[in-house]
Amino acid sequence: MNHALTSAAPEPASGGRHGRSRLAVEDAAGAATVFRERVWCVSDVRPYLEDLQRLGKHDFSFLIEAVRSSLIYQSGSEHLETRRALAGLLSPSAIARWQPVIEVNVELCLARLAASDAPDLVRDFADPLYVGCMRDVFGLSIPDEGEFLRHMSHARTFTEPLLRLREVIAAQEGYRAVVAAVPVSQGMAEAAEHGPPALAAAIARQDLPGGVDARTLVASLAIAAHTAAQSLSFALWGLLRKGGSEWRQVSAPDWADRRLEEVIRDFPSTLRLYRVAQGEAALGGEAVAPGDLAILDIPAINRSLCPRAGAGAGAVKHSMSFGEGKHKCPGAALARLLLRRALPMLAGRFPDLRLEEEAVRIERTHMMQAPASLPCRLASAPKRGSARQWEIIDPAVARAIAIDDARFRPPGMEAHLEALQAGSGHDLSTAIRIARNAPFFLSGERHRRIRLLAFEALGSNRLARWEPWIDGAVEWALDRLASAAQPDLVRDFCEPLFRRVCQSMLGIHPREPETFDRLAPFLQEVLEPLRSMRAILRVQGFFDVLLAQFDEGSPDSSEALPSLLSHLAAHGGEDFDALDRKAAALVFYGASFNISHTLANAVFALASAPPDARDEFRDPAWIAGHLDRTIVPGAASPRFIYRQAGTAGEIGGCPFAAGDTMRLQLAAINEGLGAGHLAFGHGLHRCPGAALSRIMLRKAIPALFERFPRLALAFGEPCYKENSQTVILSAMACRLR
Amino acid sequence: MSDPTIAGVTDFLRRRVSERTRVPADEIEESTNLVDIGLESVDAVLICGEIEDEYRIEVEPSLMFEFQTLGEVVAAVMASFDAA
Repeated sequence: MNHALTSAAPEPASGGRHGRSRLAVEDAAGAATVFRERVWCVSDVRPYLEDLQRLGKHDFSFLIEAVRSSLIYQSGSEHLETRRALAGLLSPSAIARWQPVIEVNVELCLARLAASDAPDLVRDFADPLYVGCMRDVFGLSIPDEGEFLRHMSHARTFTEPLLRLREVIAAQEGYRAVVAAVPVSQGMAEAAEHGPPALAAAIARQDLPGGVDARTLVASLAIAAHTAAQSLSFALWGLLRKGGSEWRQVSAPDWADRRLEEVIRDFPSTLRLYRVAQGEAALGGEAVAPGDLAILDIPAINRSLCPRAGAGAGAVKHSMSFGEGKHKCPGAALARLLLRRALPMLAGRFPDLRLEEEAVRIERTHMMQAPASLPCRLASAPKRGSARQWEIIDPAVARAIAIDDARFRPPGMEAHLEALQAGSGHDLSTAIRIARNAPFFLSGERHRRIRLLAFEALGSNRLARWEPWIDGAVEWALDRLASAAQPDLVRDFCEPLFRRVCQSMLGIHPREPETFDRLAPFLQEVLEPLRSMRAILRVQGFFDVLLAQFDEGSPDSSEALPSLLSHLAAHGGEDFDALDRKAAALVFYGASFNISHTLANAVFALASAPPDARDEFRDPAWIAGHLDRTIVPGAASPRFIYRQAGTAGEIGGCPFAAGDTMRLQLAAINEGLGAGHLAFGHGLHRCPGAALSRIMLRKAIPALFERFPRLALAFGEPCYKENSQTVILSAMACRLR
Repeated sequence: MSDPTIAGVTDFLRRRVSERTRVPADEIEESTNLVDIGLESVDAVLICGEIEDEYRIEVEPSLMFEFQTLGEVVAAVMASFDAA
């Protein structure tokens, strides 16, 4: 809530140097200095707005008024007097009187969620709860919830830097609409029937500084209060991703006292805050000149506040999610009360609540991060995803499906593609060849043959001989990471390591490595179900190019270690011609991308711990002991396992028809299962690459943290690629020391 | 390219579904559940390919299973025109 525009460059002090330095603040001590010292202030954006208004002939009167009347932009005595006027209304004890009203609104939103055909925790819970509080606590007039949220969203962008002109115009209109929702004071405000006077009326009665408009002040507080809804959504996202057992604890009567501050610390919707130096100062040992900008990385600052490992459980002392000092968020008490009541009430009502992870959308701007949508399932029973598909999240039902090869088989992609070829007239011969050599699309004798050959080449016994070579590849990748100018754990470690190991082990030696590596990620698209003809032809084109990039019979990188491709050539027999063998190697390579993705996800989770809590990550024995308990279930990149029903039947309360697809939702299934997880599947169709995946994780993770014990992730949350089938980190910028 | 009206798209889809499922077109109403009359995955891919060729838009085959009836699928296809 305490933001400052960077688009308004402050005037340099006379005699001082020109140009601004930008200082990153990522620790609590530095943040406390910036928040508390008077030399650090918010930017004054009013001159910028007035210039824009004058030069562009636009009306920005509401924004100019907001700068004058809003705590976010005020400074000096005006700011102090406004805060004093509001103190008695927004203090924890004053806000506590609103608890019954907030609980009534939570109950209304729980009912709304339960009645939704496609429940979404943002659209059907957090946002309506916010609007309800704006009506009942703030006293705003909101006839249309959707329209109000739209206007509020436009107004909220006013805190973002470097807005386009049309965005500033939209923010002006947003503010106009929200101010219009604030009732005009009718004089003395009386207590409502079920609570204290609404805040709008109470604020109108306060002795505000001259020039501060009460309605604009209320509007700015209402707009900023949406941060509480965002924090609620972000907390839900974080808690639900931790698993069912963690979620069910949220409904415990003492959960908020024990864990709420930790949640507020770990899931801040504020990404960055800015302060501008108004004079000379020092920060982190560096001299600060007037005009210099301090950029406070709130997630990093909060991570620095995590308790040391072994320090004992106990309530987290504090976080800086609400800032500190004179610009500390005035809505902190209201946000805390909202989370304190909404989270346990939601967990109590829906103990089996699960996210539809592949449909979650996180919005990130320069200043904030929060879920834009959180589709969810309210109960764990199988649910129809579509007319021909069932979504399975119960672990017992999932395991039963995975091992029942009589009733459930992998999708018959080869037959599907042959029918498409016959029906469309398109040549799909390459796609068909790929399907007939992909174990995840096969059953019966051919599947058995490929599986056996794959385990002979890639099973644990054979891999033991590759381990020294893999150790060398890990060191090579660490050297590469260390030499990167701007190190990124995905681009400079996980991906190169995966390519080096898997290309060699599978016998793929591309003639044009850059071309091959650029196109190979498209191999993962073959996993997407029900692809359009357009997409199938596109992927087939990639396969044609990639198959032409390497030959069978290329010398293996290691004389004594035959690759999958050479093993298929020696032992595949008549079942696999040369093109089949290459197709199989390419299919396995496409599937092996999951090694890179899972490693990246695991590194991200572990590197999020403070450096003092990472000693164990350097220990190969600790990693090995926790691989199946926590690391793989939490980090495994595949989202689903697909099985197709051969005949009609019933399982786990799910009456399926012949041809129905059972989609096993791995994130939901694996949470809390530990060593019994299904990340690598189960039974006859267990992933042939499981042993290699485990070796890579066991070797790469300890080596990484041994080489770089002070490894730190960069700003905010990293970015994920949009992929409906796989959890893929696209980048993970870091500092190595 | 056919005229992208609701009536035009409905007629186009009805004829294609009839060809694939062998159910007479006059028995396929807007309220007909397509899976119930035997629509399969391969049919969905082929029909959506024809929609793309005919109307120069992109549609995903999954929409033929996300929406149950002919009328609902038509509405989804019409929404693709708006989005294009």
